[in-house]
Amino acid sequence: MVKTDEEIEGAVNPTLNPFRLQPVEIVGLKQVTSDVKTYTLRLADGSHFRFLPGQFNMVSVIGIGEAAISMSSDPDELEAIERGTWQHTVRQVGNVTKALDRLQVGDRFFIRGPYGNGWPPGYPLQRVGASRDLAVIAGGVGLAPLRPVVCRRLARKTGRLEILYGARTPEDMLFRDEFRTWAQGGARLMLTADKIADGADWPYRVGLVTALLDEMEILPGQGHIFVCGPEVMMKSVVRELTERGWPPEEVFLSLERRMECGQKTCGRCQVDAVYVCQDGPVFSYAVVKELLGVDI
Amino acid sequence: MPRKVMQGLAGEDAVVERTVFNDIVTGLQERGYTVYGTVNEKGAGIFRPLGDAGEFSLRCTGGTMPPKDLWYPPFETLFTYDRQTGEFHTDIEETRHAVFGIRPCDVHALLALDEVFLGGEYQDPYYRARRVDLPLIVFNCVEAGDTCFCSSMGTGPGLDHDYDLLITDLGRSNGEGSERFLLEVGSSRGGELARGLRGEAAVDEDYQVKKRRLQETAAGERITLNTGDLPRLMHNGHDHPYWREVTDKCFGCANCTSVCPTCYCADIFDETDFSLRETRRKRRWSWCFLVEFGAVHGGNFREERIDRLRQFMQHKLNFSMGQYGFFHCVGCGRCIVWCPANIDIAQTGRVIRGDA
Ligand SMILES: Cc1cc2nc3c(=O)[nH]c(=O)nc-3n(C[C@H](O)[C@H](O)[C@H](O)COP(=O)(O)OP(=O)(O)OC[C@H]3O[C@@H](n4cnc5c(N)ncnc54)[C@H](O)[C@@H]3O)c2cc1C
Ligand code: SF4
Ligand code: SF4
Repeated sequence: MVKTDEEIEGAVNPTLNPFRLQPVEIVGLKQVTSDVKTYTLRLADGSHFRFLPGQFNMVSVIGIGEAAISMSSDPDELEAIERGTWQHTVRQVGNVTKALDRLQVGDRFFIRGPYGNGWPPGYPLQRVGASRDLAVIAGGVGLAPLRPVVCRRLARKTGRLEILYGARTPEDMLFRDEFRTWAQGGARLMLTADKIADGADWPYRVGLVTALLDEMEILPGQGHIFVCGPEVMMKSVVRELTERGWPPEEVFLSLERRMECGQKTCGRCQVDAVYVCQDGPVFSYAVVKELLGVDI
Repeated sequence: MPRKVMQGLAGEDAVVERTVFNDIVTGLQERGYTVYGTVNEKGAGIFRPLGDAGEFSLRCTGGTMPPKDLWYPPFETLFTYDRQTGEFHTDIEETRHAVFGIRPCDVHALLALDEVFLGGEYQDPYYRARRVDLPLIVFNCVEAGDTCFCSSMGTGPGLDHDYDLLITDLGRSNGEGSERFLLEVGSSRGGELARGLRGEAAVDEDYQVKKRRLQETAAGERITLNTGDLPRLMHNGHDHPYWREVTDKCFGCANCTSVCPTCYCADIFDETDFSLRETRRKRRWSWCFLVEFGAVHGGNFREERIDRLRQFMQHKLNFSMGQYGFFHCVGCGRCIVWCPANIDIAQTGRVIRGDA
């Protein structure tokens, strides 16, 4: 990967402050669900922001604080590269995310990053996920860090892609207006909602995301599975995948923990001997199942 | 054996008297350092700036609190943001602190924090600024405190690396005469400080006395913990019923983690002044014992006190080994001293590993 000037400077100049913030400008805003927005961003200095699918930024609203937020767009999309833009998809749950919600196009906030390992090493190269089949299983906002993977796969048209997605209600689903494009691009989309309003027009399933596993066509040995969602959801998903014969080495999970620094120093995201911020957030289930203090 | 008495040492190992302490402290001060040492204040050993070595108390063992805040303060400003100009201001000042009388366990704790803040992909410039110029005048321990178990953890009572000067109380020869201290030089900076001091060149016998005294100290430690295979045994013992027993006594006060010389967890938060002109981004110590430590939207990863207590002890006696290759418990015993419930990490370790 080509290194940015910053990275080169950072490597030769270790005194470069890793807490330094970069201003970003909101160039696009989209209400995704009632409490989720997608922010299209550009670095204020015009330079290009590089990242890998599954990585995250520490997003700052000065005076409020910082929160870890994944990149939700495809880092290799040509149009975005030309414009120097990328996206975050954020659900308002607390201080920073609610402060972000008040911002408008043209407003600025700050980031530092990217942090974390991203989806399996080698992605989107050959080793994992590129030529073999891939199933992504997401719950709620957990689809945000998987969207870069979905877009990348569809652009490359390699291997089968299945998307199993569940949310509390149909209205809570992220990226609904892209589902058609994803399906036309060759993805098999399987949807479920925990509950639906009486009389709602919902031709898909009702129930937990695990209810979709029987519909999967990709079988153990044919590819990989990437999972992101609440920990209870990931727990039941991996349990059922294991019962269906999926080897733990081929199932990858993105964990969430509280993070203050993203740099392995604040200690907040420690689970057993790993730091979720840098050793993760993505781990194979083979690793996760051995960790003390994670109930998956 | 006749000894070579030296009026002015050339900067090598020597046997010295207590008066030399003052010369060392003064020497550091003349070089522009603020010299911190343990001072006995109402029975507590507190690290504070020394006027002269007369204030220093040899009896304080490691100090009631570790000197950790010299390199990792409980509160600090990472940067200031001027809300009117939109400019950031970072003020990283290289400190010139020296520690006189730091003990081997606390040096190991410092080395552990070095790995955390400077050993990874991101280097913490704030920590670095306090660490780059930090002379350590280390005192080996010739008397074990009631709660010390450094010899179990391999961090004391003697040190053989990472000191500028190392001082061991050799006692009085034949129980009489003046007090004698072995002064060992561990760096060129230490050599500079030792140059010109009054003393005798050290001979083999002095090192023998030191060795014997350290062995006696180690043997005198009343708390022990067998660390052989400890991480694996702690891992296997994660569901041991003893955790519940200990938790039932624990108040969750976080005293233990507040006094631990290796604890480094932190919050990062913003503070805006009343004029709304400036926001400071700050970092402050945080502790895995706090309920909110593992709280996220929709839940808490360590909801129960047992989870938090286990995190503390498992991190010290198990996880740290996987993270850094050594234990983050240096056996200083402070968490034992400060625990209002008499909870003892070494005792817990012994039970979980099956020794008690
Ligand atoms: C790697 C990673 C990637 C992520 N990606 C995304 C993403 O793409 N999109 C997204 O929307 N979210 C994402 N998150 C989640 C997001 O970082 C959290 O929801 C974050 O807490 C939001 O920050 P906030 O300041 O808005 O909320 P906070 O104010 O921190 O509050 C968040 C929640 O934590 C609880 N809480 C906070 N402090 C305390 C306390 N002291 N005591 C008790 N409870 C407390 C609150 O009840 C609240 O529900 C990601 C998290 C991680 C770790
Ligand atoms: S865990 Fe207790 S004994 Fe071990 S280093 Fe920390 S305070 Fe000292
Ligand atoms: S000092 Fe003792 S009572 Fe307080 S949190 Fe630590 S173990 Fe529990």
